Amino acid sequence: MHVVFVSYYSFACNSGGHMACLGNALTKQGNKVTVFVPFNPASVALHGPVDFECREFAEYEAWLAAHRPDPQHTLIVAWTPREIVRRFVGTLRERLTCPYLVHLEDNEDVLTAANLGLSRDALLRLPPDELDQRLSVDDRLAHPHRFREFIAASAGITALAGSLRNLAPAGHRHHVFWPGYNPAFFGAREIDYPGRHALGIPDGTTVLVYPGNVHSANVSEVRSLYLATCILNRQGMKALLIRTGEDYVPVLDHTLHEVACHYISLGKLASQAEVAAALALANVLVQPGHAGPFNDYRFPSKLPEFFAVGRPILLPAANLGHHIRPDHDALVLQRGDALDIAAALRNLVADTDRCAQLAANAREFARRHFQWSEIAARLTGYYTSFLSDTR
Amino acid sequence: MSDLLPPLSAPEAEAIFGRCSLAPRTPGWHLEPVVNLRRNPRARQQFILYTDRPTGFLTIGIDLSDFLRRVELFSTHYPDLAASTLGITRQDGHTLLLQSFVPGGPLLETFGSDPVGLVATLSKLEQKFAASLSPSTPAAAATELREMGEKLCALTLWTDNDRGFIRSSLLPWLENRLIPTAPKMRVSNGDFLSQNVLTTADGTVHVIDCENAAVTHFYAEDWLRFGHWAELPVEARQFIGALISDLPAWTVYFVCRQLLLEAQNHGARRFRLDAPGWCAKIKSALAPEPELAPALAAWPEFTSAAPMIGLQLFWKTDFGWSEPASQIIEVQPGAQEVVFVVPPGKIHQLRLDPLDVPGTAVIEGLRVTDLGTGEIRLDFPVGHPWNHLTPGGEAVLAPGTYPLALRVIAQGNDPQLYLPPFTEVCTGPLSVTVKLMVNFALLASGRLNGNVERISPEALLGWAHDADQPAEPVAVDVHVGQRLVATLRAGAFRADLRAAGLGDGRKAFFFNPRPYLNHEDADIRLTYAHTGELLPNGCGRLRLNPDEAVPDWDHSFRLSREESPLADRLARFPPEQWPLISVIVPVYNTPLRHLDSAIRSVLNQTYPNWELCLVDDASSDPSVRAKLQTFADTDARIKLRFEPDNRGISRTTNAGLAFASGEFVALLDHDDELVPDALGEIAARLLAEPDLDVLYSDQEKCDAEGRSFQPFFKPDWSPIYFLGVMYVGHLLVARTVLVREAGGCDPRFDRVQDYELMLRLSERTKRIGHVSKVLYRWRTLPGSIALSSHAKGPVDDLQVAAVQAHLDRRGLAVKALAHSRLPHRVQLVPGRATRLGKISIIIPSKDAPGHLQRCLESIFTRTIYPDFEVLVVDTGTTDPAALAIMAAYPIRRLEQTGPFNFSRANNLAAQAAQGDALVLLNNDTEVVTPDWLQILLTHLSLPGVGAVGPLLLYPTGTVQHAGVALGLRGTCDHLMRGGNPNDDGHGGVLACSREVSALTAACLMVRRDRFVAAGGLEEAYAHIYQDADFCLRLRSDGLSCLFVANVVLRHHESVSRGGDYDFVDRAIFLDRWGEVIAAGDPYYNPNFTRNRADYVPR
Repeated sequence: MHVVFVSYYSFACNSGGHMACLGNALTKQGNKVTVFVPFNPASVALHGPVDFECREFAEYEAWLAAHRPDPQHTLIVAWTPREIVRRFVGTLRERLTCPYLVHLEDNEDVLTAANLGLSRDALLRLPPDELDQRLSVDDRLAHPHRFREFIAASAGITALAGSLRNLAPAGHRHHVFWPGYNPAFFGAREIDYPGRHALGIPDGTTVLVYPGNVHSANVSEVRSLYLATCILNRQGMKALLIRTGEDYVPVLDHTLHEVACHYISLGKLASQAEVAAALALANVLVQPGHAGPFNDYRFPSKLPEFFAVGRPILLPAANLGHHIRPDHDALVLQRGDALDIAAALRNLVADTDRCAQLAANAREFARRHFQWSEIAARLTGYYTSFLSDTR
Repeated sequence: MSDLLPPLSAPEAEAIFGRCSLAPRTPGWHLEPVVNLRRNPRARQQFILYTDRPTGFLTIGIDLSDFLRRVELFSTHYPDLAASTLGITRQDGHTLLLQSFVPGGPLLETFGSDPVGLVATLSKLEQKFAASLSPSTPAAAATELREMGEKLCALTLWTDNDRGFIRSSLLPWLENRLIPTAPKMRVSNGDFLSQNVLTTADGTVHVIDCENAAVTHFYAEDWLRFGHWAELPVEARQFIGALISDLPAWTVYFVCRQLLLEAQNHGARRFRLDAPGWCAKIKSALAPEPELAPALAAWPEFTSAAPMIGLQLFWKTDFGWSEPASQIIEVQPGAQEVVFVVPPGKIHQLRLDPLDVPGTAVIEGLRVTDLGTGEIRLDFPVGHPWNHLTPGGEAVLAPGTYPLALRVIAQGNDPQLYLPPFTEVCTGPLSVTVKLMVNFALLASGRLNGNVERISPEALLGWAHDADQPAEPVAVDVHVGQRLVATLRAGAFRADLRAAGLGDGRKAFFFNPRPYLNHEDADIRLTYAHTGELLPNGCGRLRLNPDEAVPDWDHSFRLSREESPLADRLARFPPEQWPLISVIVPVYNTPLRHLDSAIRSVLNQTYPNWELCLVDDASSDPSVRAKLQTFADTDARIKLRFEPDNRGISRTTNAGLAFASGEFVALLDHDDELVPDALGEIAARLLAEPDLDVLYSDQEKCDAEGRSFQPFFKPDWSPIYFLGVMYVGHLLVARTVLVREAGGCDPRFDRVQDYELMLRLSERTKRIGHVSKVLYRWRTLPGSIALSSHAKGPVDDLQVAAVQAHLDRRGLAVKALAHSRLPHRVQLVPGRATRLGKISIIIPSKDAPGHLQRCLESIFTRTIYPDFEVLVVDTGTTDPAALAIMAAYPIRRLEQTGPFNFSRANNLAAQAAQGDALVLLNNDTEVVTPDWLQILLTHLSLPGVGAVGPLLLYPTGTVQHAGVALGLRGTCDHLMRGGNPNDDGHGGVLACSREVSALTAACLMVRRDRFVAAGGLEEAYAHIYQDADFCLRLRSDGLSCLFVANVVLRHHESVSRGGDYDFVDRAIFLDRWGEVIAAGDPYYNPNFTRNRADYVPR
C-alpha cells in the first residue's frame, strides 16, 4: 500500500510531527509513504530521521511521472480539509484516481471563525462572495461549506476525537485514533534544575510549561494559565510559566504588566529535542480550557508528550479529560479558568506524594495509549480496507 | 384528460386538416402556424390557411365549444365587425374551427398620423356598440359584479384578509359607483385593445380576439382598456375620456378584470410583484374616495397585492424600466443560440420572450463582442442556472480588466437578462450571443407550483407545493441581494390552500426580511431550493422607507440580525408542532378604526397558526357588533361571541378563554396592536423551550394615529420586581390549561385584572420566559392607562390588594404598601412583628477614623433592629483616633494580618460571626433608613433570594448604587449612578425592589450559611470584582440578588476609593465570567446601550 499524505503546512508544526512519526511507523510495517507539503519538505528533519519520501506540492507532476503510482494500491490522506489541502488533493486526483481520506484534527468552523474574527454562526451565514474574499487571505483555513463537501466526497475519515465525526455525513466511514509521542525525544525525565538555574529560576518555584503556539482560538485559555500563575504569586506562592511557541495574537495587553512578570518565553523552538528539554523544566503540566465547541472537537497534540515525560497533569473537562481516570491518570479541571487552575495547583503542589503518584500514573498512561507503532498497525488495517473496496 | 395538446408542427396540422371534411380544399393550400403557444390551453394552436392568399383562420384544440360560443355571440351582435365561422369539426381527438380571415392592419397603424380619422373610426365603433345596448336592472348588474368578485376571490393569489377586503369593502364600493339606476348592457369582446381592431384602406373595421366575448353591464371598461394600452393622440384621449364618467372606479374595475384575464390565461402566477411606486399610485387613486379611504388606509395587503397587477400593466413606468430601451428576443424550448446587437451606451436589459410557461433557462455560454474595438468575453460556467443572481463564475473581460457584476435575473416566467453598462469599456455597438438551453418541462409538468403573494418589508408571504411529493414541505430559498438569508419550509397551514385542492393546506411560508434591509434597494428573490427556479412572482425589490420615522428603538427588531431569521427558527420544527395560539380580545364600544387595527394586526400575523377569539361585552354601539360580524364572516379563524349583557373585562376575557381552543392564549386589548411577527416570535420561543408556560414581550406605546413612542424594555422574569411594578403588561401569552386552572381573570380586580392573573399564574409556574423584542403596541387614548398613569383613576389600591393577596397565599410575612409618592408602585415591608434572627454586620477597616466614626455612629443610633452585632475587621489600624473609636462602640474587633484583602477580611469575620445573616458593610457608609435591617432581612427571606443590597447615595444625594448590571464598561457597573433617587427610573427601577445580576459589597446582606457554603468571597481578587463574582456564583446556584429600593444608605465612596484600577482583577473576572457577560444581563434588556447605566435605548 502506498499512502500519500497531503499536509497544510511544512513539518514545522504539530501535525508535521504526527505525520513524521506515523510515516515512519507505517513504513516499518511494509507500506510506502509519501508526504506532500506546500513548502520546505526538508523541515521533516525537525522530527529526526525518517524512512519515507517528502515532497513539495510543486513537485507533484514530476513525482507522478517518475513514480507512476498504482491507483489500485494508493490512498491519499488529506491531513485536514483546509483549502490548501483540498485544492491540492483535487489537483492530484485529476492524475491519480485513487480514493482519498480526510484526517480531522479540529473543529474547522471554530478555527476559521476565530481566525476571521467572527462567531461560528456569523461565519456560516456569510454570503458566498464575502466568504471567498475573506478566506482568500489564508488558504490554511477551511471553507465552511467546501470542506464538508470535500469530506462527504471522501472514502472515509480519520479523526483525533470521536466528536469530529460530526463534521462528516452520518454513516461516513471513520477511524478515531489518539496521536502518539516520539520516543526519540520524549520520555520520563527528572526535573531539569540546571536548566532552570540557567534561566535564573530560583529553587522553590513551581514551574509550569506550556509548549505551543497561541492563536485566536486558544488565546483565552492560554491567558487563563498566565492569570493563574499571577494569582499564585499574589497569594504568596512562587510560580512561573514557561512558554514556547509563537503568538499569532497577543495574550496580554499593556494593562497586564503584573502578569507579564510571571512568565518567560523560550520562543519558537527549532526541534523536538528542545521541546522535550523545555518540558523537563516543569513541575506540573497544565492544559487549560473548558468544554465547548473548540475543545470538544480536538485532541491537544501536546498531551502525549505531557504524559510521556511524567509530570502531574491538569486537563480540561473536555476531549482527553473525558477518557482518563480523574485524580489517577491526571486531574480534571471543572471550569478550566484561572481561578480554577490556581486553586488546583495550590492544593496539588502542597502534596508532594500526590504529585509523584500522578507523575508515575501519567507515564503508564502514555505507555498504554500513545505508541505510534500500535496506532499505525490499526491505521494500516483501516487504510487497506479502502483499497479492497476499489477492486 | 389533459387540456394540453402536444405541440403540432404545421405538417401534422396539415395532415389532420387534410383528413377532415372542412372546406375549402383547394389544391395548393398550406398551413402556416401563427402562434405556437396560445394562452388559452383549449385553443392553443392557430394556423392561417393559405392558398394564393390568406383565406381562413384555423384553430385546433381539444374543446372549442366555449370558444365558439363566445365568438358567435360577438359575431351575432356585430356581424359586420366580426370574423364569420366557416365550419367546425372533430378529427383525431382534435376540434378544428375555421373562421374567415379578417383583413386589415391594427387601427393605430392605419391612423397613426391621422387623429381625425382615428376619432371618426372610434366614434363609428361606439355608435355600433351603443346601438346594441339593451335595458337591464340594477340587481342584474350587481349580480354580474358579485360574480366577478367571487371569481376574483377564488384566485389563490389572495390572502383571506384580501378576500375580506374585496367582499366587504371593494365590491360594495364599486357597486355604488358603477351601477346607475337604469343600467344597460351589451356584448363586449372582453379584451378591447387597439391591436384587436383591424382596419383596411377602405375604412372597413373589424374586431378580433373574441374568445372572451360576453354580455356585460360594465362595457365602459372597453374604452378604458383601449386607451390604457395604446399610445393615443390627444384627440382620441379626449374622445375616450368623455365616455368614462368615473375614472377611479373604472380603473379599479379594469385592474380587477385584467387580473382575472391574466389568471385565466396564465394562472395567478403570472403577475409580477410589488413596486413601491405602484403601491403609492393605487393608494393615491383610491384614498380620496371617502367610503374606501379608511379601509384602504388600514389595509396594506390589498395594495401589496394590487401592484402585482399594476406591475403587469404599468411596468414601463413603475419599475423604472423602459420598453424601448430593451430588445425582445424570442426563444424556444431546447438548445439555441440567440444573437442581438445592442446600440452603444443604452442597453442594460434584454428580455427573452416569450416564455409563457414557467421553466428553466440555462446559459451555456455568453459572448459579447464590441463591434468597435473587438471582443469582450464573458465566461459563464456550463450549467449556470438562469434563475441565479450570483455572478456566473469569473467574468473575464479582455482587453483590460473591469469590475463587472453580471446579473442574470428571471422575472417570473419572463426572464430578463441584464447587461452592465458597457459604455465605459467599449465604443461601438455590442453583438451579444447567448447560448441557451430552455426547458419548460419541470414546471410545465406541474410538479412544482407556488406563488409569492406579498413582498413587503414586513413579510414575504406565499405558498409552494410539490405535486409529486404532496406531503413534503417544499423548501424555498430567500435571497436578499446576492445573499441567501434563509431556506424556508413551505409547511404552514392555510384553509384557502386546502380549499384550492393543495393537499392538506400546509403549503404556506412566510419570512420577515426587515432585518436584512436598509435604505437602499435590495433585490428579493424566492426560489425553489431544489431547482433554483424562481417562484412565480418571487422577485421584487425592497428597501426601508427613508421618510418613515424609524424609532430609535427599532433595533429591537434588528437584534434579530444576530440570530436566525424567524422563519428559520420556526422551520426547525415540523409545522404540526407549531402551537395554536388563541388571541383573546374582549371588546366594548371600541372606536371602529382602532378595533379594525387591532383585529387586522392579528390577521396580518406572519405566523399562521392562530385563532382570534372576539368577545363583545354587549357594546351599545351597533356598528361595533356589525364590524365584528363582518370580520368573523371573512375568516374561519375568527371566533365571535356576543355577551348578552355588560359584565366587565374579566368576565368577558374569561368568556373568550372558555371557547379558546389553542394550546396557548394571548391577551390583546381591543384598541391595541400586535406587530406582524409577534405570534411568530412567541411560537418560535415556545418551540425552542417547550417547557415554558408563560411568555411576555417588550412593548411600546402608539398614539391614535399609530405613531410609536416610549418603548418599554423589560427584564427577564423578575418576580420581586413584578410585586412592585406591573411590568409584564403586554404581550402576555400563557398556556391555556394553566390559565383555566388558575380560574382566569378575577372580576374583583377589573382594571388590573391581567396583572392579578399573572400573579396567580406565577404561583403555579416558574417557567416564565421573556422575548426582548417589541411585539405589542399599546394604544394611548383618552381614558387609557397608557396615556396617563392616573387616567383610570386610583388603581393603586387594587394593585396593593392583588400583591397582598398573592403574598398571603404564599404564606409570606410581608406587607405590601403603595409607594408614598409614585403611582402604581408597591414596596415591601416586614409583615408582622416576628423575630427575624441575629444579624452580624462586618466592617473591614484600617485607620480612617472619620469614616469609621460616622459609620458606627449611624448604626448604633439609627438602627431600630434589636438583635445585631458589629464585627470590625481591623486590617492594620495604627491611628490612635481610629483605635479609640473601635473601643468606644460595642463591637467585636478582629485583627487580620498581612496585606489588606477585602475578601479575606470578610471571610475571616464570617467564620467568627454569630448572626444568621451577614451584612458586609464598607466603613465609609452611613445608615439613613432606621429599619434598614428589617427591610433587608424581609427581602432576604423571600424564597429563592441569595443576597440583597440597598440604594446607596453619594454624599451629594445622587445615586451611587441601585444594583449592578453585566456588560457595562466591558464587565459590570452600578446602575443609575448619578441619578436622582426621587425619580421613578425606567419602569420604576428606582422606586421598587427588583432582581439584579449583582450587588456591591459596600452593603450586602446574605445568609451566613449560604455565604459559607459558597466559599465566601474569592480571595484571588486583590481589590475589586469580588462582590460581583460572589453574586454571580449565587446566581449559578439558582439564587437571585435583589436591589432593595426602600432602604437607603449613604456611601462616601469618593473619599474611600483610591489607588490604581486593578486590571489583573478585571482580567480574572472576565476570565471566569466572560461568557456569562457576553450572553447578556437577563435583568438589563439588550435593547439598552451598554455605554450608559441608566436604561437608555441603544
